[in-house]
Amino acid sequence: MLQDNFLIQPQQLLIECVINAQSGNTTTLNPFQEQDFLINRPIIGLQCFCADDMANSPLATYLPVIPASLLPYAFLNISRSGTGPIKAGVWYKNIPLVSLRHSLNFTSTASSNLDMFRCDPMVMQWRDSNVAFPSPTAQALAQYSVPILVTYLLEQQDPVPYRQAFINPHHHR
Amino acid sequence: MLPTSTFVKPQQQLVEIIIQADKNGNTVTPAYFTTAVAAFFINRKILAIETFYQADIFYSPISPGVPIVSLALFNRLSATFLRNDGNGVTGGDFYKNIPLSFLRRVINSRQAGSTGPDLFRMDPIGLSWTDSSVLLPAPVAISEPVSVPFLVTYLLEQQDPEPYKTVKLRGHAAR
Repeated sequence: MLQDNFLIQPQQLLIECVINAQSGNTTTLNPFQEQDFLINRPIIGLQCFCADDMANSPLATYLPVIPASLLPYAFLNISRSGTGPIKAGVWYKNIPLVSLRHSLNFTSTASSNLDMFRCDPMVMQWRDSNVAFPSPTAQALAQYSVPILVTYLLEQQDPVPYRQAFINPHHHR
Repeated sequence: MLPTSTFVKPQQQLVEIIIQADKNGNTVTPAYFTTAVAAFFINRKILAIETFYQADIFYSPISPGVPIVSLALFNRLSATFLRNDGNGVTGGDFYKNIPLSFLRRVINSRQAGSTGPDLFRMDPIGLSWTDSSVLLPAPVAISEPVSVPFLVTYLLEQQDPEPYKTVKLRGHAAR
């Protein structure tokens, strides 16, 4: 039986969503940029971090990472491409960002999920996905990075072993 | 038995119950889901439900500006979910008076709220949302309405529920 601890993460890539301040407050919708590297590559897991986990983004301009104090205001909306009978759309809606934080830090004020966020292998539409702040709050810096660690498959890799039906081996008997 | 942490989430949507105050400023419960929630989940089977309180998220994303339920209320609340017929079971309130803290899956070592030992999962089943509710054993004074959020993991109409059934997660039953 496949245990979570034995999840073999085939590939991982850290991406970020940059959140911008407007007049000193958070912006309601902060879209991701297009992720060329992930085109046609199915996503199987996502994790996010706050400044208590990593202080600065390793990407681009090394932006400071979102502080723990802002995390409870933030929600993730994920749009995925259609496949088979399932239409494209925002099928992960208003996911609290803390629900995707899988790191533990007992001194942090941010909550953590005890489970890793795993999803059915699917291609994401990054430009239609965003980090949202439905209720505005003060944002100290002009920009923060929301780092997202993406676990993904290459185009030629079989997604079946990562589906729920496969994780339960008896389903195939 | 399949561990919770191998759960592959097909879709998730955050919904809420708003607890209103009466004319005296006290909570009104039981409080129910709206018809909009019921409409969204028509013919969609529910796999898991999680909740949060104010230490985890501050404001509702559905009703911006409405604060999330405080710990003082969270610790007193229980949830009742009515299920539809299915899997050999007649519909009814067969998830009754579940402590809300049992449905919380995130932890925060700086805060006092409890966390459930496992993700609250159910056999893929439709719920009667407008009959499902949260309840306080006694009214509590509140200064404004509060949101009780529920992160719902669900299947679309055309998705196969079989891999998510408990009978499929246990080896002997499936043979």
